[in-house]
Amino acid sequence: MYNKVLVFANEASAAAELMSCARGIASETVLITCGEELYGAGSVYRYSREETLAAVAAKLAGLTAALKPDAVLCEAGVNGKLFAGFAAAALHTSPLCDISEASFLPEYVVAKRMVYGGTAIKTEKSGLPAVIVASPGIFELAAPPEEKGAAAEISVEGSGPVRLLETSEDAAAGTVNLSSAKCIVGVGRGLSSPDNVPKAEALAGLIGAEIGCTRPVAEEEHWFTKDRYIGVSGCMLKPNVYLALGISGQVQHMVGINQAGTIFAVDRNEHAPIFEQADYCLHGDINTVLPKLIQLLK
Amino acid sequence: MKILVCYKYVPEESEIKINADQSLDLSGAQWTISQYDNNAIEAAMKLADDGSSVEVLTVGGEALDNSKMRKSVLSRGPSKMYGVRCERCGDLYATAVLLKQAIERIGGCDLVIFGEGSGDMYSQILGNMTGALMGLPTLNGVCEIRNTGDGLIAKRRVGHRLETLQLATPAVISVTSDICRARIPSMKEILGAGKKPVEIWNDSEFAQADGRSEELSLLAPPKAKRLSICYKDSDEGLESFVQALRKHL
Repeated sequence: MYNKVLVFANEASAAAELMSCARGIASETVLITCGEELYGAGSVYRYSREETLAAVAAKLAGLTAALKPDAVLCEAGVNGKLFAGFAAAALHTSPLCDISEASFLPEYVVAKRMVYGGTAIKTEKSGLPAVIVASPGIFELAAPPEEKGAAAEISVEGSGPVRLLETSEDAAAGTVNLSSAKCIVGVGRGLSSPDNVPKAEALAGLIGAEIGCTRPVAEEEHWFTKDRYIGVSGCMLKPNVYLALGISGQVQHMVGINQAGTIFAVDRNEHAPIFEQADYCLHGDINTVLPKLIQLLK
Repeated sequence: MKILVCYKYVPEESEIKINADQSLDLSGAQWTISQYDNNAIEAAMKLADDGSSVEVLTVGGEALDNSKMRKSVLSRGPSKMYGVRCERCGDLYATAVLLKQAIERIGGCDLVIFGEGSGDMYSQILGNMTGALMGLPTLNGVCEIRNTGDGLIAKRRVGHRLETLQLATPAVISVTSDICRARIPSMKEILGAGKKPVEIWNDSEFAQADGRSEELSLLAPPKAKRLSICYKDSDEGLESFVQALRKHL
């Protein structure tokens, strides 16, 4: 059992999950958040939602170091990474990023993560204090203890050289959560034309699937938003069904989906590596096959 | 404005082979500039005005001495390359400690730019750590940056929220890969790159932090056994494929 574990999380689901883990491994827990709930934390350091983390990160990291935690658990995402960077610098440690598995041992933490775009799994260990950025959904949820309101609350205000001028909704950001999808249609460059994007979407709609895509499709072709991109940042998907459209099956992509229940693949190249790694394969030109599939599934 | 872009040489991902024991064989993989760093370099070139300079800094092994790799980075516009050579490069903390000292040796700068994350490890955290160690205002997720003359205005993407921030310099930012498209250097730019100055130091010239983390293993994940039942694009083939799909939904 650790003496003290800190959690940095703003998203409700991440806060619930990381606090569940923290309560299980430490006798004292501290939550740093701009959210309202406590999740059973012994004390809370709170900053305003109207503030940017960039303005308070240095101050929060100073408070973190003063608390001498054994471990700091951070939510995934831009804010989690910013806080983890500041906390690791303040605690003179090297963070374990985007981990998909962790063992909390008395002297150190051992964690696994995907590297080289999914080509390999790296197992690494960090002495204490350890700073960890956890991929979502890796710790068991536990109900917080009943007693409430005992938490000590400290509010932290921003100051200094970073000033938030305004916030807005980001139109370019997507809203998809692939990690919770039961069925995913994956789109690769073999979709061949942006004209086929609405068809892929129609097919996904017919089978109740979310759309995911490969790196080039998101970053070079810009057919879909980046949140739909499979195969990096430790995101291991476990849908019941994965249907690949025009994906050749490079190892970097396959690692992200090889835990899928059943894999279906459509591709024009019968020697595409994905055909060896799928359960059901359809060999044909996407341009002609896609409309036929939609017709049959209607 | 003096701008410094930190970048990394990484092995070409598609040339990494997997050995029979699931370990990785990197020996046949050529070096390349981590692709997100190309966006960071281009963002710096776009931000730079007439009185500005853009230089680059890297920490790494043999790739630093590879003339093609030197030209590859300098052909993208920066006027000088700095490098810290390390035989066995350390973890994120050790690298951040080295970068901080190297930036100080360069004489500091107004803005340090990092890419979104390295193409090999993609930790997306080195810029944040370096900025924190230097005690400078530090941002990540920056998808737009402009110079107003008396400071910088940055847009920072946090999930669905877009923050517009004012930032005093000196500062450290990590930019997203979609901040701008990376350029494809012309033959003239590649030839010109060979004449640009390069300054390389050894990590032994700097104070070094002990490793705080240790790699225990690096293995390709096991492949799941799959049925690999193949159908052709015929009425019968399509029907069977759709039937199988329906059965599993």
